[in-house]
Amino acid sequence: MKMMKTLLLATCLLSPLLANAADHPPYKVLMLLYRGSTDAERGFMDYLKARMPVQFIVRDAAEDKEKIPALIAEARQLKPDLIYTFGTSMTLAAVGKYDADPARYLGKVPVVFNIVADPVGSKLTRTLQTSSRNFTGVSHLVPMADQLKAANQLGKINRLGVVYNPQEPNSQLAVRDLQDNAARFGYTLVPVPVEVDATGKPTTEAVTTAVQQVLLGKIDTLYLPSDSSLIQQADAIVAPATAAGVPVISATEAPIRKNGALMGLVGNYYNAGAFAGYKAEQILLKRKTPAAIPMETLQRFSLVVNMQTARTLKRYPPLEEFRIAELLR
Amino acid sequence: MKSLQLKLIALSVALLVAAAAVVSLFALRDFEAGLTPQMAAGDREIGASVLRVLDKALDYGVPFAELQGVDDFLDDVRTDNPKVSYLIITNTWGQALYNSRAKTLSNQGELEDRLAHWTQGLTSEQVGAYLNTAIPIRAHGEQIGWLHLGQKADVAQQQLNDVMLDLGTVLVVAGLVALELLRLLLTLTVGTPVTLLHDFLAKVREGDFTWQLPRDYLGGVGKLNRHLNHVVKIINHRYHQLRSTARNQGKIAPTYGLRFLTNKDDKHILFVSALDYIRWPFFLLVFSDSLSLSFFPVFAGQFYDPALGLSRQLASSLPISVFMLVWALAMPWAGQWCDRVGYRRAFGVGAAITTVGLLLTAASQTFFDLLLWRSITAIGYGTVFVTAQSYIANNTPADQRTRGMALFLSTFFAGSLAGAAIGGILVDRLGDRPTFMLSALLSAAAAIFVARVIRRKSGGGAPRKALKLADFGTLLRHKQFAAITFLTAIPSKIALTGFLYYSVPLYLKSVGASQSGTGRMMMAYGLAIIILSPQIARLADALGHRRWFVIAGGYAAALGMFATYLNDSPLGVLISITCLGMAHAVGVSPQLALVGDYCKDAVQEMGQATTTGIFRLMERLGNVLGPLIAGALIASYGFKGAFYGVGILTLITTTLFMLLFFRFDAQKPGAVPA
Repeated sequence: MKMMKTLLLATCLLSPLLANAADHPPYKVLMLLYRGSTDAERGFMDYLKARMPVQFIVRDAAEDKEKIPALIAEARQLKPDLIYTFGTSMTLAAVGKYDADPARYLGKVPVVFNIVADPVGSKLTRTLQTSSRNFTGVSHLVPMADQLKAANQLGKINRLGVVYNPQEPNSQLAVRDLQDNAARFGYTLVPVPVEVDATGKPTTEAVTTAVQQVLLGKIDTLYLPSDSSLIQQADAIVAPATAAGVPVISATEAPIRKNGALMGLVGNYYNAGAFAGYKAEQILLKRKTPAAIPMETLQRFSLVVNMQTARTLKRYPPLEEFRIAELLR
Repeated sequence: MKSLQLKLIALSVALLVAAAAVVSLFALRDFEAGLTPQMAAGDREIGASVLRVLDKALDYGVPFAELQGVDDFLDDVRTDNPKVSYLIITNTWGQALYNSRAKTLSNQGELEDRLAHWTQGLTSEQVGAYLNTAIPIRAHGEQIGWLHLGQKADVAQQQLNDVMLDLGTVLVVAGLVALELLRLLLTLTVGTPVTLLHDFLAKVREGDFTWQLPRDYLGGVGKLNRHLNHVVKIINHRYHQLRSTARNQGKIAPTYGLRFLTNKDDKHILFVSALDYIRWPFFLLVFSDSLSLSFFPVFAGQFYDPALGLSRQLASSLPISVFMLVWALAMPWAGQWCDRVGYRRAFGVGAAITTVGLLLTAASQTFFDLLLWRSITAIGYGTVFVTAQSYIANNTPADQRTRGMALFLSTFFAGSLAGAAIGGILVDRLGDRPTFMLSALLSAAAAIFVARVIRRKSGGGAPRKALKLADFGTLLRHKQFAAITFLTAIPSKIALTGFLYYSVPLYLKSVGASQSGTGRMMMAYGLAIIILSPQIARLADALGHRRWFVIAGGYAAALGMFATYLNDSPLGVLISITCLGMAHAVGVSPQLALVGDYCKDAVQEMGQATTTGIFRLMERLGNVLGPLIAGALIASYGFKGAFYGVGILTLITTTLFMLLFFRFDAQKPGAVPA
């Protein structure tokens, strides 16, 4: 909320500058998506549309990494005013790691990324303060300690399982974070990697096998990382775990809403999108260079609880959360 | 006559107090009846907010017996509502499922027993020491349990006590005001007319028929005046007739030593001036000016502006210090002026200036205009003070001078304590600026009263000498005088203004006491003085050894300051204030007498009036220093530190005084007064 207030305030302060925005021909914004349009894109587009004439060109990789190089090539040709990228994979494809050869990437067009769990951990940038390159962006990452604290409210975690995609930076990051927090929260981590096929994607069978294996580790809670390849297979993860009486904590909102994961402390995608829109506005209207705009995460998160799963597992949130949390019937 | 007057006063005050007590009692009964539902309503509101969350959880299908984190939740509610002593959720058969309770819950067993067999509906009733409010918990249209909230029933008692104390304060003040008013009324309707009659008849007995009694408006004993005047007029008339008849016959009418009016139109009207004439307006004026005593430092603090470059403490102490300074400096000058223009004019003008000053204070906008308006008020107040003082001094026979001064001081302290107490109550209800307006109104009333009652051509007493700088030098070089002034008189005033007038209101404000509470506590000082002073004065006169009274007073004052340091609470402050009042009753009034005892040479050289004037002026400089010293101490060491600091200061000066006087006594054993 604090961030939203800042946004609103910034908007008000900027309004005189917007006078000439209407005269400008529509800004061309290319949106490179990975798994279709989400609330994050809605937030981003709503924010920009309200402030400037803008034309959005949307391209979606439909969760197929093979398609990404073609999208990057198209981006070069389209020469948009700004490129929006969704997720770590797409962003890495667009701007590359900080130590990679810049010639292979989109250096000339400013890029604003969104829904990147860990810009530093995935080597997009050395520091969140500045990319030193032609991009900035927004992370939706909720600090792991906060997630675990929220999860502990619904029952003390003693053995925490996690299935992860060893090829995905977000998965690796999550396992590392969970390991780092194990001592503080007093749990034993049981990590099980999921086998991936030739395209680098886990099959449903591989996920099912991994979940069976992790459940054999006598875990009392299972963690589902913010990894598109696993989120896509959420049913294969959540259903068997719930059936075995093991609650699933999700790093992202969708598995709680759609697949019945018990809970998660999540950043709101729509707000993250609007925040990315604010950064795009700084570049397009305020003529700031992306390197001058720090990469940030949201300040407020919401606890989302799937009450149906809660009733099944008899794992209820504390009374206080009934005042605050977002509860799904 | 005196004893009749006293009896009358006692009877009237007793009647008044009884009437007020009855009215208060009735008011209190209604209040008590109204308070319990109010508390219960508060509890129900808190309960409803708990139920909203509870209902939501139940609605989401969480079983009643399996709710999580309920105790923590209830603890939070209790933290937010500190009045609530416990929150207990039971099922329908009274088993406590969840609870949050204060550690010190009295007769817990009885409480649990009662709650286990709870059958009533939504009710509030006293269970043990608590006012218990029970709210049914329902799910799906069916009652599944109870939420019990408990508030200490004596919270109600506490609030009632506060109101009782307020009423008590009003009673004390009403008693004091009634006393002053009655005294005045008796003087006007009985005392003065009887004295006048006595004087008048004495003159008639001597054969002097040239005097007339004043016209009477009050319908007391003075009703006789018209008839007596008539009789004397007829006698005069007859004498004139006789004289003209004699003159016609070429004779001279003999007077036989009798005296008649030579000219018909000549009128010699008898007049007596009574102390009580000035007492009432003086009381009123002191009262009006003291209304702000309990909240003035807090009021002054509102004008704090960091741009002044002063600390907040200094900014709120400066207006008091400036007031005290102007007041002290105005008095010698105002005294001379009063000698020139007479009491009536001096008092009237002084009260008018005070009125204007108070009105402007009520309207002040910035720190600097507050200082200016307070200075104006101080000039007026100083003028009134010195006028009343010399009126009383000049209207009491020389042998009753001490009694007269005691009367003057007791009127001053009565007005001051009544004002502080009532001012606290008023400011709680009206706010600070309206209270200043009311002060202005009352001092205007004092001015009007004086204009009507005191004789126009009343003198101003013997003209006094102007204070000369050289006299200051001479006196301050006088060891004993300097010791008495700097080691006892000034420290006493520092404690008075620094502690009582400045720190106490700020401290009590900081611990959340009400202004009426502050005023009430400040009243303790004046009460201690009024009650103890006459007895102590008599004792000191009888026993001699005045220096020991001064020393004892100093140590008692220091002890009083330490009381607050040791017991850092409103109770500690009350003890300190009372101690200070007692200490000053013991130690302050003998100070001036001590000057007379030990500084006979100086007094002979410069005269009593000059010595006293310089002593008073120096002493009043302590008033100026007090708030500044206390403010600086508070800024560096906090309130506790400041109380401690003032205590230490008093302790050190008293000890030094004691050692010095041992030496003085040893040097001049012959000079030691009995």
